[in-house]
Amino acid sequence: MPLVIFFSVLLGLFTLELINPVQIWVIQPLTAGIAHISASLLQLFDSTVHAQGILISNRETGQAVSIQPGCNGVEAMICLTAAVMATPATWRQRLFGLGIGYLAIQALNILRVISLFYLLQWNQVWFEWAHLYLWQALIILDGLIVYLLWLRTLNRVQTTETAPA
Amino acid sequence: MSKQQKPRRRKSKQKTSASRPVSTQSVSQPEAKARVQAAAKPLPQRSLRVFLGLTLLWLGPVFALWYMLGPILLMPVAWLANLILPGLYPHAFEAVELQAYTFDIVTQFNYSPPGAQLPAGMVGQYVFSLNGLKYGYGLPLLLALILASPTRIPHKLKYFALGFVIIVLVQLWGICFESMIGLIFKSDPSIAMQMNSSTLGRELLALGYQLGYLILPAVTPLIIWGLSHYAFLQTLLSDSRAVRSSEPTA
Repeated sequence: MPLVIFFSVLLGLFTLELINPVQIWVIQPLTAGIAHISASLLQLFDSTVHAQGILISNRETGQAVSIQPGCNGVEAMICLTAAVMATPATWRQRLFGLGIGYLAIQALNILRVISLFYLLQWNQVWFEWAHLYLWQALIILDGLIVYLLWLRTLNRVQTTETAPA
Repeated sequence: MSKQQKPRRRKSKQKTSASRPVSTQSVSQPEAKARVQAAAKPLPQRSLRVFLGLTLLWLGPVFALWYMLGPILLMPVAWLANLILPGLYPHAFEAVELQAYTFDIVTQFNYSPPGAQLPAGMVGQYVFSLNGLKYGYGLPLLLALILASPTRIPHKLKYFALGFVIIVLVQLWGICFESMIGLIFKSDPSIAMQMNSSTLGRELLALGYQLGYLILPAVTPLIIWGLSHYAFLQTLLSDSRAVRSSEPTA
């Protein structure tokens, strides 16, 4: 049964993500927000960085990265949501897990965007390698770590509740 | 509670000693004893922190190995794609050829890019290339998770082999959908028109492609690992309970 819930939520949310109004009102503003936060962080120590929409560019070299589907962490958030929904817990515990999980995924995603921005300026081959393979694995691993830590907090709560006085 | 556990322990010891004569039939007694002891030895406990640290440590070398072996690991994907695409759409696909890390999708369509100068009597054939590895990064991730889990080598080998087969299928899904996308959405309109795809068909194709690119490669290794290491997962999650119960009570 948990697997059925997991796959149903996964496929449902993924299909929802691809619908045009969701793209316009949710995904694109979120992606632009990630680009803006990443650029703001970069500008703290690099004044040549400029953000416009989903693009982060270097004014001097003209090189730019564009945050596309698959690079905004939304898919990892969907996977985490499906896993949390498939786990027996109260709604309050689920919301806590999702809130912390989304933050953790987006924090690592911003690190991914920043690292890829500099990797592109250093070496195109390494940029492609990190972009297509390594960071994809690290982001989903981040989701798994958050999920396991959340499961442990559930266990702790159960232990506290069932512990004899 | 503890009184009930004691007889069980004794019983398991008896089982171990009873199996000894069977093992000594073909090997020497000390060797058989060592084997029995190794089989009875419990697997080491591993905390969540140690497990995650080991996973991250394994990830680097395993990714490097995966990339080096890429042309070999992609062979079954290429072989299957070469069966499926020309088999299902013989009017569209002629062959799928593996070129180290990329797949060359050879189509049945004639096409000459504007400005291309071909020798007299020659016709261009529409061929495009796809990155074969971008759907397979789950394989090194799965291997890192398996290696970081405290399981015996036969268990690791069994589930890595199973995972490899499933990840080959995930890569096959990705390559087949991207090939169709390449013909219907990204090729010259004259070629796309010959595919005669319906609106619903194009929507499903786009969904299948996105699923195969964004979700399946990421989720598959985690599901395989989770299902094949369920017992270890339980011990990871009950760590906190064990720590709590070992704390002195007031």
